[in-house]
Amino acid sequence: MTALLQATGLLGGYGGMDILQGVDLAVDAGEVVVIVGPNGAGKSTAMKALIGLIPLKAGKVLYDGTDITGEAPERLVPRGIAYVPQERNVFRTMSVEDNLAMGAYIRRGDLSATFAKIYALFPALKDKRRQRVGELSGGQRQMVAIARALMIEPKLLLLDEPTVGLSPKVIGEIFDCILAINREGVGILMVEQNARAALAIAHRGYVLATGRNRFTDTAAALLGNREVAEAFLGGAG
Amino acid sequence: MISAHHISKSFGGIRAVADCSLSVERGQILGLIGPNGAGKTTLFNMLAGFMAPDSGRIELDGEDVTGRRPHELFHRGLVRTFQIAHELARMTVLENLMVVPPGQSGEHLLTALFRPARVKAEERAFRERAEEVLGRLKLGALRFELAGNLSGGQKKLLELGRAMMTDAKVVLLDEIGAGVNRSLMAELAGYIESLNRDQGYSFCIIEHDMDLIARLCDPVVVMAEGRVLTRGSMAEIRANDAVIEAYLGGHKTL
Repeated sequence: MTALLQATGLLGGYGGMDILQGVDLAVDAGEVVVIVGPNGAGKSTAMKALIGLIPLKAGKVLYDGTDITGEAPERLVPRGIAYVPQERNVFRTMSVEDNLAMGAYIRRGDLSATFAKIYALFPALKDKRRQRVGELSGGQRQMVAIARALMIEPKLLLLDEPTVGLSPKVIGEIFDCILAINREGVGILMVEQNARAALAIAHRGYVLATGRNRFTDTAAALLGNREVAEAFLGGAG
Repeated sequence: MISAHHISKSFGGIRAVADCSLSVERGQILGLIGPNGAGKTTLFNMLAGFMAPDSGRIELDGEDVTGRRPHELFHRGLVRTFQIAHELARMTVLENLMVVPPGQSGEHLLTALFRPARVKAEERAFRERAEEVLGRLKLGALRFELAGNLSGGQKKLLELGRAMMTDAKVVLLDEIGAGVNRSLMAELAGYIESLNRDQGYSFCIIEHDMDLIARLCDPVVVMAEGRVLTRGSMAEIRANDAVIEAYLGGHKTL
């Protein structure tokens, strides 16, 4: 496997606070990678730093062998990096179909094949494609957010807490979708507090704490690690 | 402590809550679960006075409080957690906690001018209490940070902290665990248990984390499509086919 994304020594944050104290992250092509850790550990910040949403004081980000450190987010989208933020990730007053079309903003030409693929992945969205997204359930809204990101046919999909606030059944459905997306060959990096369930579908995981890497291992090894389970996963499973 | 009797609420043509009844008894921790859009938060909003029911009755401590405003209910010992308001995002974490206790002497100009010692002593007591709450929530290092700079999960913790600054009889917690690390959540569950056991707080908790619900809550009430689907102990709920179908799904790890 070749590293699709490789970040080393990420240092930075908002304003004066250096939330990231030198974080390393990598995603191989076709891999599902989960970032877990306490609140305020820098998980979401690290994800934003990868794609230029916050400035870095130090560190390097390689994507597909190219140095993209400090590159503006809108220049990374055409290269195949899609990002789903944790909040405000849909256009609530627009229809499902228009939300998806917005995701394809940078594309030209025929989108029908992409639409067909996405509706096959999210059949519930096809039935509701003319409905305003604000009227959908929380789980369906999250599916719209993910589907919108997929409209550029990305190689790498970044998800910031895709299951936050969703019911257990819907969390299962979202994770099933993520697995299906990954089976198409899309590399996935996600931040999750439903850490045990997320690690169960992941290849590898990172535990971040106070802006640093604490543990990096295969998902199975992290799930089996007593110290990780006690301190970060809510106790032994 | 607080009870709803056959309350309903519609928005436009949609019945968000339809003929719901539930009751949180003194010393209970009641869990309210159900799919997204089941009407749980609307029910909470009615219990806490943020909206009046179209029909039905709400009682707090045996008294009819239907249609009472949130601040009236707050002074009678009912608190609900809420998103941090924008104004408070420009205040520090510590200030966010210290403004919560009602009826502070320093709020009155004359007391503030002529009884500074009393104001100071009171502030010292609130400060001590705030520090204890911050310690429990692991936010101590952030006491002078602006609330607006906190991470998503830390803001949820601060919401809980604000509720803990009152001598509430009943606390309504709306998805306090969303985005909170599971190990910290397990500690917070211990905190909620001790507030319940040692200080007599009653709770009504909306939550999707079934471990938390199973540990804390009895009874558990399940809502779906605006109605109460069923109620019982968590063991009974887990074994209920309608609940599995509507809410839990088949995923064992969740």
